[in-house]
Amino acid sequence: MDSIDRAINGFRMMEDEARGEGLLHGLHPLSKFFVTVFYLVVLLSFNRYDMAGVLLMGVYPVLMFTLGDIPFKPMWRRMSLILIPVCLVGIANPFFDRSVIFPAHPAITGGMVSMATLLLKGVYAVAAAYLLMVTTPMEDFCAALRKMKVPAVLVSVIMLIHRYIIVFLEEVSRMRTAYLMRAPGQKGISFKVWGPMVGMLLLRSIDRSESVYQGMTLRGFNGDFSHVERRPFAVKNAVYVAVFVIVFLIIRYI
Amino acid sequence: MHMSDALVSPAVAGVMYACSIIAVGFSVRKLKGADLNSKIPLMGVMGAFVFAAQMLNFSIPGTGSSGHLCGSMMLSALLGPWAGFLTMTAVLLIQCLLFADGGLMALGCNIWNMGFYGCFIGGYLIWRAFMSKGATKGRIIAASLIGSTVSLLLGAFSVTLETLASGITDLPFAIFVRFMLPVHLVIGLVEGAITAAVLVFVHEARPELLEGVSADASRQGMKTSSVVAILLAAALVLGGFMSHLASSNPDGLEWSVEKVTGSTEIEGDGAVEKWAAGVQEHTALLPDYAFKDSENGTSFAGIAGSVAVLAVCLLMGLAFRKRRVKPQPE
Repeated sequence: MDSIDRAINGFRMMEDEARGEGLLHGLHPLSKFFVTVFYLVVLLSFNRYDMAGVLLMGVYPVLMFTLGDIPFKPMWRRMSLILIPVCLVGIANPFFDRSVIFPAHPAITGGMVSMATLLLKGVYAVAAAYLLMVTTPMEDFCAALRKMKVPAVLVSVIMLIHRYIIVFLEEVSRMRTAYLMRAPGQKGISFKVWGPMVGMLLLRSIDRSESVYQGMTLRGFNGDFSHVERRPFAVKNAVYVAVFVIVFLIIRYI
Repeated sequence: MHMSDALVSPAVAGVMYACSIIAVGFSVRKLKGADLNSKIPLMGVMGAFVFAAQMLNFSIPGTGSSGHLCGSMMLSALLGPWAGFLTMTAVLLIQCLLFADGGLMALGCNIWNMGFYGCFIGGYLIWRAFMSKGATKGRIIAASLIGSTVSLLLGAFSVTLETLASGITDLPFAIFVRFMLPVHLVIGLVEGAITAAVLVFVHEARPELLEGVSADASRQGMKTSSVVAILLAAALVLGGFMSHLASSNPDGLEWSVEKVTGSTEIEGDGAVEKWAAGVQEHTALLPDYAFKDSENGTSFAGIAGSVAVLAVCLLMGLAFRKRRVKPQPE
């Protein structure tokens, strides 16, 4: 399976999962967003050598994955995107920081610990963002953004991009398949057709946006989508936020 | 070039969020005067287009590798810098949330590194400067190549600074920069070439879609003289102040020569070499970037060098420019 098909499948999987029913699905998007951001701030505030503290921060993703019955496997595929640049940056640490922290055979150096901490932070950060999006449909997330006073124009654009991503990905996939069938054995798209191929897609996109605009105008679009709050902010949300804020602070400062 | 959360500290993430939020707020304010409602669908569809088009890999002739489109430059050229920046912000948010490309905490950094430079430096300063006298194939290619390369290099440099300021890596600044910039120079040129190919096609098929293109140079866009003034100021700042940060270590060529011969400079003992060295000694105003018989003068040497290069370029331009044909009275 190539990257475009993988992206289409991943996107559809996220959409289906986000509309499911589970422990985290029933919470208000704002409470999940707040806990995720707080978790990330606490996680990233750990000292580069504080591997024990960072390890403990794994409590949140492990608990949420198991309690929420959330599929684990798709997240590991997403990890590869993030872990490669993190490894590239962190790989220098063992070479430059050779101060011995634990005298064993072989000795554990500061660079080794800081690199492992960096990787753990990378894994946990991806897991936290994944947990947020796999339990929150995009329209609910956008409604939460509007509640946080994010400008209507930005939220509308996010919703439209989200709506049209799959349409364009499928169109690009068809175009590429058609090209490869006519030019077999090529690694990529030849530079001779760079302009016409993407240019035609671009012109079709602009024409499509005209139709979208007319359709939206006919339905009374006035610059902002109406966001329906499907889940009111119940007491369980306040409990969820309070419990995890306290847990993260305990891990951080004790 | 997406940064992940693990590469930033909360302080750096906060500062970059603040910078990006200011840029987003400013863009929203600038757009409010325009016909925003009609632009929103175009922004959304163009965002999805950039997202999908970036999934296409274009083969780079003679290398066996591939590259993809420079999204922010393309969006600015078609939507204008303000709408382009907002669209790029939305694209980066979706990439981070749905595809794990980047991170929620690093989003401020990514908006700045990939959106701000691409839309405002590449798409506003450079694109509009080139288009202020109308669009031609040559100008579109030059603007795309320069815009993409400059914005990508600035983005890569920012990634280096943000990572080092976060205290994540033990990599020394110089090594990190030397690793990042050459790679992104090549990527920038490739992305610029792909972006140029698409924009040239658009110019030929539907020229009215390109933003910032003016038939009247005096009314729209930044004047060439303004761009020259900005570039001159940047050259003077770099030459005058940053020259103090210049490394005293030998450069790549000198290092290689030193490894082979034991010295960074090869002494020639032939008559021609001695004559050439004598001429250079008498004519060089600032030998080794300082005044003669003085250790000081690095700043002055930097500024003088910039002015001298500019003067030579100006003289060459004047010497080789096409003579304007005066209209004959009827």
